[in-house]
Amino acid sequence: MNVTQWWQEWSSNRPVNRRYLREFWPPMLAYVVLVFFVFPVVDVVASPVLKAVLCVAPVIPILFVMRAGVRVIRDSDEFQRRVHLEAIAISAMGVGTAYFALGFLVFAKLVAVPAGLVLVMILPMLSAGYGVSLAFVLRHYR
Amino acid sequence: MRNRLRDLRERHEWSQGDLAGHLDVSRQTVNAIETGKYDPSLPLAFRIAKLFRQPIESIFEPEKD
Repeated sequence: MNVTQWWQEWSSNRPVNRRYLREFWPPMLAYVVLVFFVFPVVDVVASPVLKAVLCVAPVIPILFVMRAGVRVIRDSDEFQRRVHLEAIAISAMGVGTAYFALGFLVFAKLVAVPAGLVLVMILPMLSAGYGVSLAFVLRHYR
Repeated sequence: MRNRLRDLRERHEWSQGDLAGHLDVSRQTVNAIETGKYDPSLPLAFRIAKLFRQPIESIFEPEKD
């Protein structure tokens, strides 16, 4: 079973998985709207407080995405929970190690990376890492 | 751990999806148990034993060394 087959079967099969999709997409769409339409306004706002509020606004829908993720893992059956958690663990270790190596390269002034971009990329890297790890985990259990 | 889950399921003429429905787990979970890739927890093993009305040790047995 590959990731696509697993996803199709996973998303159509059990009420807990359908609930996840219902809980995932609205905040994710809200996040996209905030990032593309609200976050750019930060540059033209003078008030530091309002600027800070606009900067962290995209995080609020992401908290709901996280909540949906926690709920689906908690309510999945034991095998699916194991698959999710193994993929998350592999992703966390991979991304953590990559950032660790990047940190040493930055300390040695061998690479220069914008701090904001590096920090903002942690969560997308973990999500992408989860997707890649899932393929390996599913291959193991095939 | 070896198990007779596939044999028992086929005797009842159930698909993996049917058995998954009876046990309230996903079809992937049934498949992983049948292929020996995943050993179920004790509560799930007891649910399986209860469903097939057999003692747990007649369905699951440890691998021989």
